Amino acid sequence: MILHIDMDAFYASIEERDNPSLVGKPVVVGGSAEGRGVVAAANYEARKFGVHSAMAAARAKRLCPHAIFLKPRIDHYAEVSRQIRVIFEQFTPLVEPLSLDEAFLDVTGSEALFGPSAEIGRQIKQQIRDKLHLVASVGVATNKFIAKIASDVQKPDGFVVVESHEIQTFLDPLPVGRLWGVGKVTGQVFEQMSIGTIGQLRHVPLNTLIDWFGSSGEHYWQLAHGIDERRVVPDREAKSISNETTFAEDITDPDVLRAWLVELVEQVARRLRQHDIKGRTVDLKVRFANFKTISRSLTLPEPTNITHELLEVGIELLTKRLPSRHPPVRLLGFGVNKLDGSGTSQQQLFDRPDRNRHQDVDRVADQITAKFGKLALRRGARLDTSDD
Amino acid sequence: MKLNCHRGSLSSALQIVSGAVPARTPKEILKNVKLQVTDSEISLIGTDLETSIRHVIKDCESDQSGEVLLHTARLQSILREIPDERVALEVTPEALIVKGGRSRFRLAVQDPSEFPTIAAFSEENYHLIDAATFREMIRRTIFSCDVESTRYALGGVLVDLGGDSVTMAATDSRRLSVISSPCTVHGTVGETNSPVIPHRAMSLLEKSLAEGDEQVKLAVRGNDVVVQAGQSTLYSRVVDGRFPRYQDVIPKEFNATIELVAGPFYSTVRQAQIVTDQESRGVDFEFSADTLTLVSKAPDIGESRVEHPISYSGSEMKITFDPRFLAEFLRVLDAETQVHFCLIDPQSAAVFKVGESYTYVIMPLAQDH
Repeated sequence: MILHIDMDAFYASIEERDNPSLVGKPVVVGGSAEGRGVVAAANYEARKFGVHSAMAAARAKRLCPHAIFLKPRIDHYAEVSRQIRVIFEQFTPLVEPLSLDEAFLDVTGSEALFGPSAEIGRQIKQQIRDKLHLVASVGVATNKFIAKIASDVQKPDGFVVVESHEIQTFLDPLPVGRLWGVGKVTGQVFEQMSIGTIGQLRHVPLNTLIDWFGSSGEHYWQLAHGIDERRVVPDREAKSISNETTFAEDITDPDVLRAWLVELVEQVARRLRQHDIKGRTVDLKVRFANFKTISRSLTLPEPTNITHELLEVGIELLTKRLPSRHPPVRLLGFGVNKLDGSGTSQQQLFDRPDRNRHQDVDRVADQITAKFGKLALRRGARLDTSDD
Repeated sequence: MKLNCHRGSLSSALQIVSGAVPARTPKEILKNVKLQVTDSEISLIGTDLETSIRHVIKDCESDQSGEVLLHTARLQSILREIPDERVALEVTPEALIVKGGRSRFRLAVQDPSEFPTIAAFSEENYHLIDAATFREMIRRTIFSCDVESTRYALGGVLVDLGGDSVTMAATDSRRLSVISSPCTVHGTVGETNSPVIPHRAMSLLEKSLAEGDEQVKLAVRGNDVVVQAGQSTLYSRVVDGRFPRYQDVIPKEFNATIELVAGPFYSTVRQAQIVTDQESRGVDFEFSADTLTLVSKAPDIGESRVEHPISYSGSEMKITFDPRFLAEFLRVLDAETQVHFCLIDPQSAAVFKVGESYTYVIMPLAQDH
């Protein structure tokens, strides 16, 4: 069985936990209400006013003038994320983090030790509450697709188990928009065909779906029947490590994009270092408002997991390799592949003091973050790293 | 102006000069080459403003002096497709007409005065190096250049010009090629002159040197180098930035020296490369009595052991190298070349020596932490 664990309003909840006077008030993390910037997260109180992540901070301020705006402390959130992961790893080594606040766990092999999957899910949820004073929504199901929906349907503080014989009754009433891969365009086709629920979709023959959508047709058919064979891939086995984020509101400001890139790179680099692996090829993925998606990649002479080196390449790709005029950006992704876990490094003929220094910075940063999570350690000059 | 050229000569001149023509440029005019007829010679000129080549076309006559711009790719296609031995060019202010026996092309022309002019070699003071040697020196160093890096000084070959010898060095900081050869001086040249010539210019030079060429003339003028060899004169901007002190990283003393013959050893290394991939680039070189064993392992691919007989009596030792760095070096040697493989320990640089003048230094891979 697969667990999908998704933290509720993660950034905002951490801020509330660390400063209880915020509880019950609308809290917006990210940007400044006066100037530019985007909302990184909003608590449920703020969401009641229509505030959501990736919205321009100025707009959030208009929607909810009395909200409390906080600067995001990504390193701190990453540290909490690491603490959550420690809890996961008590139960299974098969943990696939999707981002700081979300992960898949394969607990099939853990049942003999810890009891049924649902019980494991409940224990994890309880430990996150007891030890970290945070709330997770948990979905327990036979595959990733259903587990992910299950964690979402009763959010916040959700706990939903879908046993294999319950799949159809669980999926059938849900709107087709829940299917992964169904966006605006596909959604319109379903609407024209009067298909509103997954149950209705399930009764459409496979061939008809292939006629409508080509190869995606089979994908929808499988999902509607509750079939999803993707494995849970822990980082250390992965062929690539990546992270992406979809903005609820498309981004045009290059500085904001760059700031998001810095966060993505930091997370990917930290994951590489956690597992002592390095990557050689850096990929940048950008999806524009018109859903056109492009990828740009660069291969380094040597594999690395040094944040600074990965960031340099990421910024190079972002600033120099995108079309000079492009639509607003809907999704930004950063990934590293050609992974090298050999634990060896090519020795250099000439000393590279700069490289050693960046390595030291990363090591110290990782240690500090691991030890004193609350210390908000942040990389300097976040917005102009390319200038050094 | 009317010209009559041997098609092959014109075609090979165009081939050489097109090496300097930029593939992408904001200045469209640079996609052309200039044909220039003076009293003394007929030459083709190509440039990307960083690197320029002027090449004299042999077996070509003109009824008067003048110049015209030729669209590089289009003229190359014409010369490739027409079967005739000779080709006639006729230049009018409006057009260029290219004629073979049964073909006639009338091509639009651009104003040649807008194209930069590249002078013929006219230096008084320069170094003189045997052309075949010069070509071999380029071949034996250029592959070590770091063309990917942002450390610009490594993106070229250092040409260290002394009074009676010239040394070329190239490195990507993982391996280093150094080769020296005698030279002579014409006129008076500065004491120390060590330009770093860009990879691209060196590669063009290597290609433009023809078999029969005898001497290469090389002069440094401020930020440019000028090299003349046979029919070609090449100008290049030199690379900015400091080339590392390469002499300091060449070890002088070793714990073991093994004699190898390039061809068979290259074959062994190529075998060892089969079971490597991007992710596991290291090959273990295990030295034991009379045998060198190359051990490769790659997850998802498999493993290999390849033995190579050597004369070795030292203690057993294992050094991990990226086999590409050995292969690239062995590839530029003749199969029967004698090579000395000089070792210190698994953490230190290893050195290949060919004769007295060619040294190749390679850093091993080492365990992290």
